[in-house]
Amino acid sequence: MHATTYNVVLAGPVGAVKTTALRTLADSVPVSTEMPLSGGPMGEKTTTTVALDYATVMLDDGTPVHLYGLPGQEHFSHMREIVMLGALGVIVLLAANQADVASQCRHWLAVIRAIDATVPLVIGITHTDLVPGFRMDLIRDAVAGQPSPVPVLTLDVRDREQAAQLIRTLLVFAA
Amino acid sequence: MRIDLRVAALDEATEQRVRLAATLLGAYRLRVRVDAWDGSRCHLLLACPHDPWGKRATEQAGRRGVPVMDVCMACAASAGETVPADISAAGLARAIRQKLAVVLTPPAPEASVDDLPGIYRLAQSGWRGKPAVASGDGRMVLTRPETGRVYAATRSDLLAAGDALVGAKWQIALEDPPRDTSELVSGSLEAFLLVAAIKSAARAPAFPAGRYRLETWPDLGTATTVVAALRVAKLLLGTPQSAVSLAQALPDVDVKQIHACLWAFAAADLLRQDDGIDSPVAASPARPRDGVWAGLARRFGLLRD
Repeated sequence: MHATTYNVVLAGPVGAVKTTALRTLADSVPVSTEMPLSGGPMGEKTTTTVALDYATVMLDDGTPVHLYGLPGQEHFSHMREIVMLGALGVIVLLAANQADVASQCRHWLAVIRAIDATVPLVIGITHTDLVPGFRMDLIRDAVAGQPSPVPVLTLDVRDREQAAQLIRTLLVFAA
Repeated sequence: MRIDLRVAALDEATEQRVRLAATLLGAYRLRVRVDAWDGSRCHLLLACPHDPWGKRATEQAGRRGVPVMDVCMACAASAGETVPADISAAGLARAIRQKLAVVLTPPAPEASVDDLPGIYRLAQSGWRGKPAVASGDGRMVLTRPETGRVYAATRSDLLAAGDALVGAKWQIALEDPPRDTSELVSGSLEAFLLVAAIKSAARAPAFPAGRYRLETWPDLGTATTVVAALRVAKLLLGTPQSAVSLAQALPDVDVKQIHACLWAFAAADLLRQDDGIDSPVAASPARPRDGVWAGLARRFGLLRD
């Protein structure tokens, strides 16, 4: 019986492949609450998370680490505080092919910091291969001025090793 | 090569073994002189961490950027990085030689910039932070430190260039004005340079002496084969560090990898030099602390290299 629970939270807007990242990282088959997009498909994306995605990573000693994927829609914002309570860290995923990713980055940083000013945080930028003009410096400008540095990575979350790099970076920052 | 060793708070028998070990190091063409610690710069201090004088000497050495080897007068067996006082002279010689690896790394060549492999050229002042084009084997990559990206015609060109950039035969030139990259594929410049630097780490020159820091976290999302770089970057993001202080803080990381990280971060124009004195850095444990952190670190391979 584990008295303490350990959570890692994946946050970010709709279409930032949080569910995919969770599937890549998890040991268990995720419990997803995906429903068809109400406004029709967004490119290849036809469904969206409407409550939570949940899966676990089982450590060597049998301790489960819970992974939660937050829905991206603002009307589910009330869930963020509940799910982030006591989180080991938060991974914010943003898609480079969405409009103004730097502003999205500022927005999600503010959202997370408003709930927990000290939780370890890492930002993952996906889909950079679809944006030839992607500029990392604009994202770095967006995270500049934070009380503590915020690591930003570009990656493909379908790749297990690259997705694991998000967790490793969280761990390095939390150490 | 002449090596200056200092000792502090060791008993007579141990100090005698240090002198014997110093003699044995002659087999490696090292002329080693052993003296008592006097607070001045040297190549290595051997001190007992449990003795008040040894502790003080260790602190002073840390401030001066002098590597320290802990020799425990109370330990019967080796504990982590600490050497037991009853170690044989031959064992001590091996341990000293290993510890001196940072000092013994060949210094950065004074050769002309054109003689250096591409990645080291990009780290030279005059090249840093500027758009450059590297070409060879019919491929071309464009480095853009100002945007943190590297560009090529195809993804396979990017991968091939990462392998080739460590060869001295690639042509590298600054680009002024930089050409348009809108039709090219791109990747993280830092990950590209880091992987290239690690591939040539064994024959890399030592990074120039000095203290350095990172102002920005490097984008290492795709550099998944160089996990130790995350720990190097974390230390550099704090107080300024030298290669020596990084090696002391990360005793389980190959010194060559530390130098490779510094070269890559410099070539990506993320590394800044600091002129102050060396800051002591607490050695990070060879294994992560217990608990869920340790479990996650094992699970996700944080300490595999």
